[in-house]
Amino acid sequence: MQLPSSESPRLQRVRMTRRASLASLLATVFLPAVRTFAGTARITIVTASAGAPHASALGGLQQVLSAHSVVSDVFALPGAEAALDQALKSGASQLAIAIGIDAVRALAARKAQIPVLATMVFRADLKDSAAPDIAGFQLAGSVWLDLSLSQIVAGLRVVFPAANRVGVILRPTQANPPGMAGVTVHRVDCAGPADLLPALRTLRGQVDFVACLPDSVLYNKTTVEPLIVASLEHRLPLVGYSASFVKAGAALGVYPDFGEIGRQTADIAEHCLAASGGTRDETPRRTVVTVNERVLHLLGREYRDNGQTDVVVIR
Amino acid sequence: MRSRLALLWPLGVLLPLVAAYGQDSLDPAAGKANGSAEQALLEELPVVQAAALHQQTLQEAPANVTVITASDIRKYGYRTLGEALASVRGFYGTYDRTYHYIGVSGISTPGDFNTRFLVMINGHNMTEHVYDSNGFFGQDFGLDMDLVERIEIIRGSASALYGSNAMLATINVVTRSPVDVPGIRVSSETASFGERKVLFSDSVYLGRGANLLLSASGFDNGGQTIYVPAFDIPPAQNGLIHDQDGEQGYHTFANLLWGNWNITAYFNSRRKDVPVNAADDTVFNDRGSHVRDGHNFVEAAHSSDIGARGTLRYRFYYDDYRYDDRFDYWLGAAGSQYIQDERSLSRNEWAGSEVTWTTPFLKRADVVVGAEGDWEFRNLQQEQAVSPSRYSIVNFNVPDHRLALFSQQQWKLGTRWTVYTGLRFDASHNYGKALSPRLALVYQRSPSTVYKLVYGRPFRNPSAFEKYFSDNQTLVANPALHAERANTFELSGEHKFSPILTGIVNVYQYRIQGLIDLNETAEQQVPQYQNLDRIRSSGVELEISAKLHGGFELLGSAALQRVVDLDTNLGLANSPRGLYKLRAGLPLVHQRLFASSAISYDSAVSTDAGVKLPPVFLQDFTLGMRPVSGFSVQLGVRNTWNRSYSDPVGLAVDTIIQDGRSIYLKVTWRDHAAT
Repeated sequence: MQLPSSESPRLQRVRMTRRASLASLLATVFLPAVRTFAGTARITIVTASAGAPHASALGGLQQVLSAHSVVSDVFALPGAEAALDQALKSGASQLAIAIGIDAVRALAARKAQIPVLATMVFRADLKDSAAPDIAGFQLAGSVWLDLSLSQIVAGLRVVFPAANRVGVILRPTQANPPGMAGVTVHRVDCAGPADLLPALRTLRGQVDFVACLPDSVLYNKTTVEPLIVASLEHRLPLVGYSASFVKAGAALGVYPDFGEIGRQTADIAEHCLAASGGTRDETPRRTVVTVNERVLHLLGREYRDNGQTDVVVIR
Repeated sequence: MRSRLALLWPLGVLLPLVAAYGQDSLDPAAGKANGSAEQALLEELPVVQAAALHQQTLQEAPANVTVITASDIRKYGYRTLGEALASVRGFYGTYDRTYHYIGVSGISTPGDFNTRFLVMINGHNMTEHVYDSNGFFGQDFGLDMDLVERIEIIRGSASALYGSNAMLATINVVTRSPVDVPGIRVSSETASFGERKVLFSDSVYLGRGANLLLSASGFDNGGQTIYVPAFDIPPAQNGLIHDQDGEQGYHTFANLLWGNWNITAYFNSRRKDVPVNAADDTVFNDRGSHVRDGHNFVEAAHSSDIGARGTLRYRFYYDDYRYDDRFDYWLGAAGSQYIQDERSLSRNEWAGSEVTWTTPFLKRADVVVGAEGDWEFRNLQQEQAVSPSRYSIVNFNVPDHRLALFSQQQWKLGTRWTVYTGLRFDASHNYGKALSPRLALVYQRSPSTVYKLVYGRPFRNPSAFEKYFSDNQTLVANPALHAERANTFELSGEHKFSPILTGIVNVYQYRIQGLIDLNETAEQQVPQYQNLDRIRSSGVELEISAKLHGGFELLGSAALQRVVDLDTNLGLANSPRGLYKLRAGLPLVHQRLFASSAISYDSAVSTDAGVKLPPVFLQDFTLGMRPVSGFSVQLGVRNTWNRSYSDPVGLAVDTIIQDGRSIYLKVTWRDHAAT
């Protein structure tokens, strides 16, 4: 008999996600490159990374899907590429799920003859991914990682309801984010890492928060320390795009719930197998908001954790 | 030279081995989405410590910089600043059982008070102006290593930025920020020779952006019985000194971060029993001989944006240095029944301010201009006989005031070449004026290779003690004493062989003119500090560091150096020709345990009297573990093979014995929020 839990739904969800991540990570490390679950696999899941977000998504997928096989970390684990070739040639699989752009590339390079469901992929990455390769296969659907600025602002306002001036640093080639009622968006162009700090400085006094959108050219191991130090010095709290960014020193983060993306993808996969025709493109149906308490304290801002909202606090 | 080069063989063997290991290891980025948004999402970013907000950092200095991190301190068990520095390429330590001294580039002359270094805490200059010492490097350095976020060390001249004393190296100790060490932390430490220490620290958020770190520690070291062969005669208890090596004291530190304000307070005091004094007529094995010293300061620093015109930083500080000692001297022959009790006292108080303006220049680089001034309220030295009769021997007060203007400019010459120019003008009421230029040329050959060529002309003003102290017996004043000057040249190359393997080569030559040293006056035959020597220090340093798969890390270095007096062509005392270091660390049991070992080999040195001391080989082991949540335990063995060795010192004896094998145990508890 299960006793009623006194934990908040948020805490339970965090624990579930953690357990799923841990289970997936352990499975990725200790099991062979290809694993089959629940009899004959109708779905082949391909991953190209053992990173925590992908592991969470895989965990979410496995919670829902019944018959499937997994080809893990296709570029790194010995024998994984051969295993993928074999899985595609066997004819048992009716659908492939690619977790991440590199898994999509791996399937595209093999000219997979079965429909492919791409998940945990940014639209821009898929667009940039050598169109001739990608164009060859049948995309059954996708769950994008992209969050709109309005989703980010909604997450931000869970913690700071009064925030209404948001800065965003974009490369000149990137399109303007759409306008939002009640929010002033300041866009600053930044050609590359060398211009990142000057771009940030121009936002001093103009905005309440600076939203950082995923871009490994602008935000990486080299640029993150000077960026965070400058954000603290100029009192410009950063909104990061990953848990790692928030741990590094962003004031808060708004990003997709990766476990939920896995479950969302599984729902689409079941739909694809049950009904034929049509593709489904979806954006993440759930986001995670994380705050870094030590950074908020440095900035003189406070978040009161009342336990009612889906906010993860890093101390 | 050939034999010395032969000693480099361990590095020669190590380098290819590590390089081969690196090539075989998996590159986690291989085959991954390069330059994509997804890569950004997956990338593990380093946690940025708020300590990076401290206004002064040397890390971007155009020089050869070594950084000792908090992680290094923990993993290798560095319990004092001296231990941490002695692990650094080209550095070595000396201990006269009262103070710890650090040498670099082969220069650490016995009797010198660490005057050719600059030690800073968060950019606050720790040099006091009585002896020009830096608070030294043992427990008399009033900051506990648990509070250190990193130690930044730049070799060579930094007078162009910091003025007097920054001749051989500049050491900036950056403390942990209140937000980086949340919660209560208590540690207790015990070690051989009766060492005991407890530390308490707490970080609290006071609201409205105010974050406070408070720390206090107390220590009581029993010391050990010391054998001094020179006094192995019956009236001197056969050279054995009992219960005269103890040390007691406290350290306190507070740091308040509040908006753009950063306020620091540092108070400490230490009493050390002195086994052997500098004067040879001191009563041997006298339980009353001791020194007590402390350096306190309070500093408030503020940083503000002034729009497109850059950043304005200013700070105000107040410093207080205190020194007291007591020694008994024989009145007449050693062992006679008459003893004179003498007490010394030094007091130095000063307040100062610094303003720095950093402004963009031609959109390509920043120019830094600044001014610093400080005013001494007291620079007092007293020495008096207390018994059998009371009278004053020395009593003088020579407060100084100083003003400095400085500028540093970075010039980008294309994508690969950068030139740094720096100039500082110092004016002192007591010690005159000095102009200190520095020029650095940096060539970034590729993302993994950088070369640096640095020239500097640092200086060191004489201390008030060296210039003005006169008891006409042990020392006579020298009003004509002036600053030492040096010309320093350094050429260094750093290359990343792979993501896990880095190598550094550093070649240098320092020429110091007018070196301040003791000599006897022709008329009175009494010692006096004079601008005597011209010395040249030249050397080459090699270092390789590797961070291998599984967290295994390795650091090896070799320093070959030669220091000569250009007038006599003789070497200097306490100047080893070779320093070789190797340390390795390995995490075990899912990062809950870390085992490390460090080996050092210092070649032979000579004493002031010309006696040659044999080379010293030492090995340390440290084991750190986290047995249960909130607790960490550290166990260390120092001088594991119980080598018996002595250091050259500038005391009544020429050498003094060092500690044999010692073991320490440290237990730390942190509350849940801090773990």
